[in-house]
Amino acid sequence: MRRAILVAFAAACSARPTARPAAPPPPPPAVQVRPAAVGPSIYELPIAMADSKGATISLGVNAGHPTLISMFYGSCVAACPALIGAIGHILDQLPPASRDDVRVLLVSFDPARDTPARLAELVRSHRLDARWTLAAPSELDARTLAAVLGIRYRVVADGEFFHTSAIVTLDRDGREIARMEGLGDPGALIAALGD
Amino acid sequence: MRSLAIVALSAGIAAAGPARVGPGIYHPAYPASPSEREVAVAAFWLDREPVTNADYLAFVRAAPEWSRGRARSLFVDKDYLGHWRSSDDLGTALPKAPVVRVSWFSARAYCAWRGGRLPREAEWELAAAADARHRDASADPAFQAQILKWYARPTPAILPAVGGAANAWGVRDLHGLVWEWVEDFTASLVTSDSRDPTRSQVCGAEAAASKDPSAYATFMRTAFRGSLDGRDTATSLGFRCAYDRSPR
Amino acid sequence: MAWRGMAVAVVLGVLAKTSLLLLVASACHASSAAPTDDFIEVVPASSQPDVTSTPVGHPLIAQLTTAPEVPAKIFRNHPAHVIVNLTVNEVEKEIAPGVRYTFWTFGGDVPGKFIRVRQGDVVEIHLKNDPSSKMPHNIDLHAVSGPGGGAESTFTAPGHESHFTFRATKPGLYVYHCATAPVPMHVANGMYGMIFVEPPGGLPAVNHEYYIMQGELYTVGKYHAPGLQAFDMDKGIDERPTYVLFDGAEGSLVGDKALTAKTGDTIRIFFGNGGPNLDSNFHVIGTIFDRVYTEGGSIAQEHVQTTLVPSGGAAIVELTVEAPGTYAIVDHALFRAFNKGAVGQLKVTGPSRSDLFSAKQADVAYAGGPVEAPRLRTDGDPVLQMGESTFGRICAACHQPNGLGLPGQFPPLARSDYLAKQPKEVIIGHLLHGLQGPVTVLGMTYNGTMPPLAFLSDNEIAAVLTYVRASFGNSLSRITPDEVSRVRGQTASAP
Repeated sequence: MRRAILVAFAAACSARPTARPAAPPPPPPAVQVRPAAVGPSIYELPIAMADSKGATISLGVNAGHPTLISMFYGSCVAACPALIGAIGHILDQLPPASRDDVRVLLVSFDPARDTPARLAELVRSHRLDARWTLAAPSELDARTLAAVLGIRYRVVADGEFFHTSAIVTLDRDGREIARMEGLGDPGALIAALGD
Repeated sequence: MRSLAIVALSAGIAAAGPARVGPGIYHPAYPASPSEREVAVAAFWLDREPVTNADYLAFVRAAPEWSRGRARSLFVDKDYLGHWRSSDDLGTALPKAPVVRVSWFSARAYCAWRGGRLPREAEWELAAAADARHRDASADPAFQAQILKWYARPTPAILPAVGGAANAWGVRDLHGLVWEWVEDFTASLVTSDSRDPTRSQVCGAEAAASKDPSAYATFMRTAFRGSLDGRDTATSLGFRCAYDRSPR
Repeated sequence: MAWRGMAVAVVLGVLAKTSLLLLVASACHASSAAPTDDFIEVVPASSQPDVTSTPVGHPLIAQLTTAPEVPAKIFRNHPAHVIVNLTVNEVEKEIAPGVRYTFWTFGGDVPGKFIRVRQGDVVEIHLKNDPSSKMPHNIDLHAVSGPGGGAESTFTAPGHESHFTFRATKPGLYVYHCATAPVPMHVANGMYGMIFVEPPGGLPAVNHEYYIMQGELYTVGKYHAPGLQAFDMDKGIDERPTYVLFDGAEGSLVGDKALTAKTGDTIRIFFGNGGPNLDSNFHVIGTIFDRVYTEGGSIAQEHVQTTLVPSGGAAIVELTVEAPGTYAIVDHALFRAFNKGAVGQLKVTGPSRSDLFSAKQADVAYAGGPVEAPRLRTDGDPVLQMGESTFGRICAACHQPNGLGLPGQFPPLARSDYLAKQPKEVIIGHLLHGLQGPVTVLGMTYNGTMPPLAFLSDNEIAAVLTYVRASFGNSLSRITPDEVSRVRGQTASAP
């Protein structure tokens, strides 16, 4: 039922007028929906990552839960703490039932530096609870995931990156249902996650 | 006698494997950050020509999960290999023409199959800065003008075969035939509206304006890469492979 | 706002003329195939124009036109959801005979398609980039209130399509253009057009509406160099265009492609300037613009000869053509009109209006006005010396010392066509017998009296005539005392 509602939401957000019902159309979406990404699950990608506990996990570690996924690097001093703060804020806005069900996966594109120990330290310093997973794949797989999620990053110096910030909402099966580019208004993401 | 020798020699070169490119310093015409005004590029090997329709056909026969109709929608869009008659038949597409309508994921899979990878942007740009005689012709206005001229022309319906003149590294067709995928295309940080001075989407990127006209060709390549997603295909977009050691 | 008053007047006029027709609002829009809504809904005159209600019913497909045509006026009285289908094509076109250029276009032509929507409309742009395109493209519409004007939401790779929606909250005539890096190059290659957000009630009716857009081309080859021309980035940066064109080509509005009208017609031109660099000085030779909505805004200036339109700006001009003929449309920075192609034509047919404008009424010779000639040197020539002194004593009083005479009173002797044409005997006769009655010299008629000077001797008359015929810019033959004597003897009794 929930999936049907989320899928219906996705269909309504895609801009095809013939599919739209006779009711007034929604206002222009603050959040971009890429119709092409709605369909396959990103968990199809065979990506293995090392998490903050040193365990090897797969991308689909949160299958069965709606998940917010994004990418970052641990040495980032401005945008990434802001990203973590934005996601925290989104979680706080959710109704209690969703709040416990949602998961967060942050994937590093700096595996050389973001070792399990470094990731563990970030979990500690940001006080992230059990819903959060921080993990680092290989460099090749980081590029792959970035290409799938539409996130861009560039090495500009040792340990320094320029990158975009996007928070992508995945349904329980890993299909993208909403995304937020940059750190703006999370209203539609919250709507996508709430019931 | 000498002309025969030259013909034999060039045939030998054409049949030879990838060209060794670098090591070198790549000077981006438009550095994305102050620390990137000079980028050191280690030596690598690069296909002398783009991957052709015939090459790619061999790949999909060996790895049918990448053939048209079977490749997953996560990795390719609906126009994947659309210029072939069927998933196994080139039809009117020339065997020796560069393969196009391939996504980044499928190009990477091909290069992995060949024991290589896609070239990185700095590697590709280092190779592409050469004209027939100089390894770095990026300051030559005639060279830049030629490239810009090609960018101004629409793509022909049927692409011609590979085999243009070799540049100073022995590599052909880096300009004038197709756009080419690079491994780190997601590092192209031209945001979709190139006039945004604040760029709240991007942590710390430089302004995207250049006063140096020779930057425009590079800039247009960056803009093109910036418009793509990994599963996108296009009629003028192909690729070639790079290798960390000579495959021979 | 000037338009609101006119809209109310239109509605009142409709009320007065038609009986009450109540049309169901949603039924008007049921057919999404209809490009325009022709039904006029009756609205109580006291209500405010509706620019904020949420559109209902199926979306309309916007009717798009190619310059110089303009889509039909919008009559509906409420906002609608409008879909605009725009395809980017990179296409080679002729810009002058034998000269070609590869343009990047919105809809296959330069300028791009004209979009016409109503204030309050929710506009959904479907931007498609043809698969044969080499470059990614996007669109920035100046009618959009929001960062980038839509550019970020419409970045489209070749063979892809982007959708973007905005509300047209403010009326006016707005430029749109591609904003993909490098932006000036995309605009210079023809990626500009216009969107008109019509105020509620629309603009007053005119006989013709036309769409003209100006833009520059920067080519490697010189002006009119034949063949396919390449874009010249250096010339673009230095703002040295090779061509300045209306509607993407020389001759786009010339000859059989000229704009047309009949005498007495009112014409409205939606004029835009795509740039990328130059301002335009828009002028139609032989007319005065009755009204110019400067910069495409809501307030009109009246009686304007030439209006300045900035790069990336627009103007709505209205004019009435009274007399028949061909009127040149130009950028009044004239080297652009004459040497770079910024000229078009408006051909007006109908009965002539000689009360307003005459054709050429007279064409007479004009040998130049009286101009003082350098003084003749008379030393060493006793005849000339005698002539000079006689002239000064007798002739100069009327004909003036410089031989220029007095306009209307005494004819000039300087560069005299009369002296040149008349036989010597006639001239001698004037001095002997005087002259009465009209005489025309250098285009002017003199009706005075010249007294007879028969008291002068033959020598003196011959000398003064010789002097005058060699002076004051004249270069005529000498006269001898014998010739004078002969005339004196012949015409002794003539009046």
